[in-house]
Amino acid sequence: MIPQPKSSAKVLSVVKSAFKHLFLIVMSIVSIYPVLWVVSTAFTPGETLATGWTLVLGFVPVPTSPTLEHLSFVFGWKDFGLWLTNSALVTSSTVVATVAITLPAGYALSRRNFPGRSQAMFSFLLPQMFPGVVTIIPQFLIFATLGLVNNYLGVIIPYTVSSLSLSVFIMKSAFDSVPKDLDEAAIIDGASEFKAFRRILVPLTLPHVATVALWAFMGSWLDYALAHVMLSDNSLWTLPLALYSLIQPNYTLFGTFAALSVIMAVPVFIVFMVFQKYLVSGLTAGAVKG
Amino acid sequence: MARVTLENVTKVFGEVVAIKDVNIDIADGEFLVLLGPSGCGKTTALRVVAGLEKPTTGNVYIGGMLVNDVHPKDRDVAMVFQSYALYPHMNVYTNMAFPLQMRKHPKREIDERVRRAAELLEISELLKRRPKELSGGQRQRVALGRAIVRNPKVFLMDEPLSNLDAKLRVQTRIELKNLQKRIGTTTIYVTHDQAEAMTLADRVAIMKEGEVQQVDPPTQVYAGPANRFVAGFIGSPAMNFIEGTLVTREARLMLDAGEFIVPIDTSLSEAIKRLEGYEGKTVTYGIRSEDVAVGSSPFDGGVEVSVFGTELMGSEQFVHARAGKSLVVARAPMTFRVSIGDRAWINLTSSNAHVFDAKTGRALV
Repeated sequence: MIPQPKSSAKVLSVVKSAFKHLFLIVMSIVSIYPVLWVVSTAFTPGETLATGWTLVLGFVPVPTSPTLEHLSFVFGWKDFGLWLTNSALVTSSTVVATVAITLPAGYALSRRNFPGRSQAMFSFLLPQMFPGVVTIIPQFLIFATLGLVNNYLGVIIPYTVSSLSLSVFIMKSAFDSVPKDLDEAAIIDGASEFKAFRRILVPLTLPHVATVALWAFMGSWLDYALAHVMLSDNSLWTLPLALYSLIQPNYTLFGTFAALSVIMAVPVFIVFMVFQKYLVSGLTAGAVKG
Repeated sequence: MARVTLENVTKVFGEVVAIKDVNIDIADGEFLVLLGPSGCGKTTALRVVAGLEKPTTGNVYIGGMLVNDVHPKDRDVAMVFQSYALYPHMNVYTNMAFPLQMRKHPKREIDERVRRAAELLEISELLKRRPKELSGGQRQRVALGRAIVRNPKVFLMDEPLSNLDAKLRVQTRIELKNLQKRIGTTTIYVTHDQAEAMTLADRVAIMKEGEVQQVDPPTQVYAGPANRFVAGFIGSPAMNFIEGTLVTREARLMLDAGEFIVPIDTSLSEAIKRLEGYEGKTVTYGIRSEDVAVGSSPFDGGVEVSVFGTELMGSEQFVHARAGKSLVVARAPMTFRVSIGDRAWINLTSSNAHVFDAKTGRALV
């Protein structure tokens, strides 16, 4: 016979699990609902919101007569190609710069003991202590002096710097988790310090590198505020600026707005799907010893 | 293969002196074991030879060449780490090929050498596996394989067997000894396990607090310890030590231990008498358990003791007894009948005994 306490423990665990699932389902709906809304709007004729839908299951908005007119309008938009190129250029430069700086910086903080090491670590944390918007105006003034306003560098540099704060710490903890014996073994095996870094440390911390790259990608691909201040020249716009231009004081092209939002979300979606596994392990790695 | 020399090597970390004035000359093809308790500096000495630490003062020579400023990768040494330090993202083959790839050997030669080393270590069927798919013993072999594959001048081994279970450790250390003799490469091996040191070494260097206490073949280290530390560190059970004063009674040199007197064996007393000022000198008398005669009834020259423990080891037993303030362990056959609390008699006079200066610990004879 099964003892009484065990069976009540089983019931309790089923109830707990049910509550957990219920909570997750509710949270998922709350998160997904606005996205469904935007996607439906992108495929619904006209430029209005919340009309021309049928609600499936009582809450999933599905266009009654789906259309591709908004998507084709966006793709046909005169400067869309230019803005897409700008966004791609700014984002890829930010990602490359972030990874290129973060890897050696994380390595130095993890493996080298140099004067000012703790101050250097603190300085990387500093930008995280203020809301990003607060520093936009001083940044604009400095960049204006340097002639970097209306220049790709005017956004690439701040995007890179702001993604460094967390990224350097992620890489430092990633390198910390790799036993020093491995670098030393590689060095005795005939590798230079750089080769040991490239052949041993970097491959072992790839999930973290992926996390760092994604962090930089998201920060620059989706930013509006800084780009709005730094890039007033229409030919240098990135996609978020183009998106915002659809909101006018007297009218908003909601259908087109939603279509562009969907287009902008596609790369993010793909990147997340591809790197999902790495991203989770990268963000949690180093949290638990052993 | 090469001769390795450490000449007055000192290594200081901040305010901590890790090794102090170390002088060891390791012959070509020799198997030298650095033995000592934790924190004695043995691993630091090994890392200095590897080039992972730079000596604060002193010189390191490999194959007659001063290597103080030579990068580890250019010293042509191979190291086996306690953790094995296998590259987790590479399979066994790539782990073993890595040192050869770094030295830009042709692909075909790399393949040949990796397969030959794998065969030698009987790990050919593991070549495609990742380290995490291997047992401790297999990982240890791969680490050895990575070391031998490139035929270095010197093998450096930092407690490579300490992560294996007891049975596998014994088996592997015999294999390791045979392997080293077959390959003939100069080897420096760090351990805190004296059984490992005694079985593997051509010579053992015993270290304490950063200083080398004695460098000699295992038998010599056991039979002729240079000081009290070595005498106490080597041997299981540890050597018995009895504090006392050297006195002459009835024309014979004796140790006056307070509660009892131990006549010193003639062969030893002759040597002691040649030392200046031996009379009245406070010394430590050392005698190993196998040199202590034990009986359950009084005998001529026997010191009465009370038994407070016995340890049966199989064919023999260790009898722990209290003689005055001193604790003495005697080795007796399994058939010797004695129980806790019994009286017993021991004879501490032996030509194999040692006499150490009570202050400096140095062996007097």
